Amino acid sequence: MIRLDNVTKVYPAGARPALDSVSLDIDKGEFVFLIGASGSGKSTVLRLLLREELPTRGSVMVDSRNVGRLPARKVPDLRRKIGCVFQDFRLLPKKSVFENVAFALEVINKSPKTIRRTVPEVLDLVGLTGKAQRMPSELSGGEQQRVAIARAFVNRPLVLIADEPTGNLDPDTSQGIMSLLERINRTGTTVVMATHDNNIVDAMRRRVIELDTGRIIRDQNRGVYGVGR
Amino acid sequence: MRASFVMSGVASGIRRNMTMTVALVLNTAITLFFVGGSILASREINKFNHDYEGKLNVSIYLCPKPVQGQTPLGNCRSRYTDAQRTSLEEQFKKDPIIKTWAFISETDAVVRYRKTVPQIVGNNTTIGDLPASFTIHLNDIKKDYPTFVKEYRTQPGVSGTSSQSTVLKTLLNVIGRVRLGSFVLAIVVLIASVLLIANSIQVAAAQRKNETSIMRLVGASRWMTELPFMIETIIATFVGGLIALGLITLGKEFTLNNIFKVPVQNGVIPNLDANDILIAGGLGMMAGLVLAALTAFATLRFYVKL
Ligand SMILES: Nc1ncnc2c1ncn2[C@@H]1O[C@H](COP(=O)(O)OP(=O)(O)OP(=O)(O)O)[C@@H](O)[C@H]1O
Ligand SMILES: [Mg+2]
Repeated sequence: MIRLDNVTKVYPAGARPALDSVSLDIDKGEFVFLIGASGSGKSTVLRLLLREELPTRGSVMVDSRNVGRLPARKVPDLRRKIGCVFQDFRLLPKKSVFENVAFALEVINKSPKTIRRTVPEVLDLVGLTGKAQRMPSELSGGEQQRVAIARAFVNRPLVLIADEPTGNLDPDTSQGIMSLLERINRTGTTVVMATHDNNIVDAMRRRVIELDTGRIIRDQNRGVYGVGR
Repeated sequence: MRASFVMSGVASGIRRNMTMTVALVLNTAITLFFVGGSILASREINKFNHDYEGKLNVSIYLCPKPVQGQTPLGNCRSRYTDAQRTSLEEQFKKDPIIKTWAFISETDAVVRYRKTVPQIVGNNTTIGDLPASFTIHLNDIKKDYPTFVKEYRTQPGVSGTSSQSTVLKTLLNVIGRVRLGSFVLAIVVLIASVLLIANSIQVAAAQRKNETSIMRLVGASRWMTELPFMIETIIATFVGGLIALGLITLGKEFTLNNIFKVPVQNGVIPNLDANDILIAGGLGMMAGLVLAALTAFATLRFYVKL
């Protein structure tokens, strides 16, 4: 599903590479944590998958597409197959909950009828029943993140990418978000999540890939966050 | 992507940037008023030119009977002969610069003269006092008049040639320059307007940068994020164009039906009808829309990275 082959990423402004010959393989349906200190390159990996950045060297494959070589006009198509969730939610502030989720369907040309049927289903799934007409500003952080997850999941993406989705949330709320991501993962969606939250990683016992200054230093199935951190 | 979806984006964009949209509409209205007005002025001048150049004739005077004790005119020794007249007419037929001609005999000349002057003067004029002449309509009076003079002035039986009203020609020249001036003005306003559109789009795009980047992340294509800006610009231009049409109509009413009421009624200044206004407004509108769309497109492609 996802394969990085000797990927090096040097930002124009960066002295050292943000990623240094990183290779990794993630299968369909896996749940993977990306961990590592601040600046270790977690977000950079995720940005490469979304083609927000291009690799300096090496190849990035997603769903057997070479993301680094993808022509610009095919980028929207790639992103429609990848759901993404961020620490800062990134909801459209002038759109209601319903419209935010519907947006992901509108860009792939779904009929209004399908949208009217699908969006409430997904909102139920993420636990936002009855909040469809709220504006993002009228929701708590946890609820906003649920909207973001609903939007990421509504068109059943192959991969869900989450960059510190619980970074702004308290432990209880984080727990709720994690069980949601787990449920999504059980539907067969590959989940790749960058996080700093050792409690979550330890509780989930999933594959852990640890980065340190742009290199992979650990790749462990059913891993924990690490001792002494 | 569905039209309703795009249009809801457009509506919210317009609502959010109301002041900017209003500025754009008013600016476009004024610009297109100038453009349309300049087109209308040009049509008016063309009509005026057409009316008057059509009426401008030249004349060839034939030799009158010499009067005792006076030096004969030009190369006239005696009254023109019928053979000379026929010979001239033969030449007119073959001459490409001449469109039509009419012969005015000495009798006709006096009859006409009597119509234009008070009776007491007219009655004192007898046949033979006024020369016979040809009234000639040239194809292009400006270009062909010198040739015409050279060709016919010295022909046997001809006493002289003349052209009407150099005053009128000067007037037409002045009006032509006014028209050029109005075109230059319209173009300057148009350039200002294009710059304003480019600028507004850059500001609007910067304001909505956050939003468009989220859209892109969710998989919106570039044109999906650009289209609302383009449609907003085109709608603003269209509304501005309609206002301009109203302004042009008012402007026309005011100048032709108020300031120049009498000469228009007499037919000295040709009137303009709804058709002329629609053509001027429509051309202005079309130019405006095309330019606005191109400007929006180019700005989004080359100056704004959505
Ligand atoms: N746009 C950029 N331009 C220049 N350097 C960058 C850019 N983005 C990231 N970097 C650098 O690349 C390195 C990796 O950054 P990245 O954001 O991937 O780290 P991270 O692991 O996500 O960190 P955090 O846990 O703080 O989010 C850092 O040294 C960072 O300074
Ligand atoms: Mg990061």
